[in-house]
Amino acid sequence: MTLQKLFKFPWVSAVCGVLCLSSCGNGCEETRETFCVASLYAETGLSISTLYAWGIGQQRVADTSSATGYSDSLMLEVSSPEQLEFILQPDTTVTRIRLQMTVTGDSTYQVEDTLTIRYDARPVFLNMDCGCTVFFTIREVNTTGHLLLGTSIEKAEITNTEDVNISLLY
Amino acid sequence: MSISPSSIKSFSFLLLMAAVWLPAALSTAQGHSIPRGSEASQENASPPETAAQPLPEGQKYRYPKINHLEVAFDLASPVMELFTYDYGEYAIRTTLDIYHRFLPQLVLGIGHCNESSEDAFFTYKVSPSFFVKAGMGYNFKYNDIRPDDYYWIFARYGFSTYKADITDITYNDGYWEAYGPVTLNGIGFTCHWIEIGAGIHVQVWKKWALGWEIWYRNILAKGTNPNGDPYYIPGYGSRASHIGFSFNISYDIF
Repeated sequence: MTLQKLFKFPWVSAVCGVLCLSSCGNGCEETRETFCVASLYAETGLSISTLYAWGIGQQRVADTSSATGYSDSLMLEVSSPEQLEFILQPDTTVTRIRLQMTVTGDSTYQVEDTLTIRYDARPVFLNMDCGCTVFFTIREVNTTGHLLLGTSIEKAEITNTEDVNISLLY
Repeated sequence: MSISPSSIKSFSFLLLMAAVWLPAALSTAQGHSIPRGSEASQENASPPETAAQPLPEGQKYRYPKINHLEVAFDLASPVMELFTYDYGEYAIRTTLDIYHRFLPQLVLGIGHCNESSEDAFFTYKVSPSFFVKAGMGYNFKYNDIRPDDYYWIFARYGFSTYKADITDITYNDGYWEAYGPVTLNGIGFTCHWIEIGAGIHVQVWKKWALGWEIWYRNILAKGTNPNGDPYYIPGYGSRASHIGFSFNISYDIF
């Protein structure tokens, strides 16, 4: 009889069970991808109608149908861009991105710039469901200056929150 | 359809819980439950030796100031580790019974974790680390004539400082080459938390008693670390859950 006192309130056990089950994980609910977000600002009266971006140094895939023998892997393809999301190389401290832009002003023409981002990368544990990701701290940003005239760091910490990290002026 | 090892462990744990629970539930269904309401009044009234004796005038407490000193060991965490969890805690709780009303307590324990992610291939490890909890329990029926069985509420503060290792971290963003595997060693955390809950204490044989407790827990501080937040905290458990549970065996020292 004494032991039954331990189970005097079965509803308590039911509540415990429900609470325990409800506290179980529902899979990954956090963003695992980390992007460097750049805002574009026009100061020259020009506008960018299309923008393509490639990571320089990215391992290229052999493609015999291509003139170069390799297929370039496109990172971005955006029309009338106001904001861009770049993927930084996690296992090094510098990423160079080739930007090919179609510019519309008095005439329409193409121009290329290379964006160089220097940073520190660090692995970050999110949780058991999402696993780990890589966050970055930007140290320096510059461009070749053909169209993009200036850069500024808005938020050096690149996390999975998708805040604007850099500004690009043209 | 594949069955993961954790599913097997969870199923085994459910079977164990059913095995523990069913005998008590069945005997309760057969009419051996603790009487309630009018039944209880009649039963309590019939044996004169168990009837409540009124306290002498001016006496506030039925039991002495230092009534008992009890040590308890939590059985739930080791069992859960055996059947379902990849972490476990081994804790001794010392409780001083003051007037059978106030129950200050101190919990000292060791917790550890060695859990592998099922789909991300990394392992989260916390070597055995100490934790401490201190708090106060309160027994509402402190002047009850049967002092060995009681229900109580409590609030506790917990503290642990420890280091975690995460091995075989890989990351693939889908564009650049896959990153890793890398290892993060010695990620340090200092955590503080509170627990608020209730429990049941039942004497089973001489100075031995059993009891269970359930509590809500919340982290007050966990420090900041550039490599992320803690997953497992010794003494607290998984940070993903706010519910704690223990099943204790205890012994009255005096």
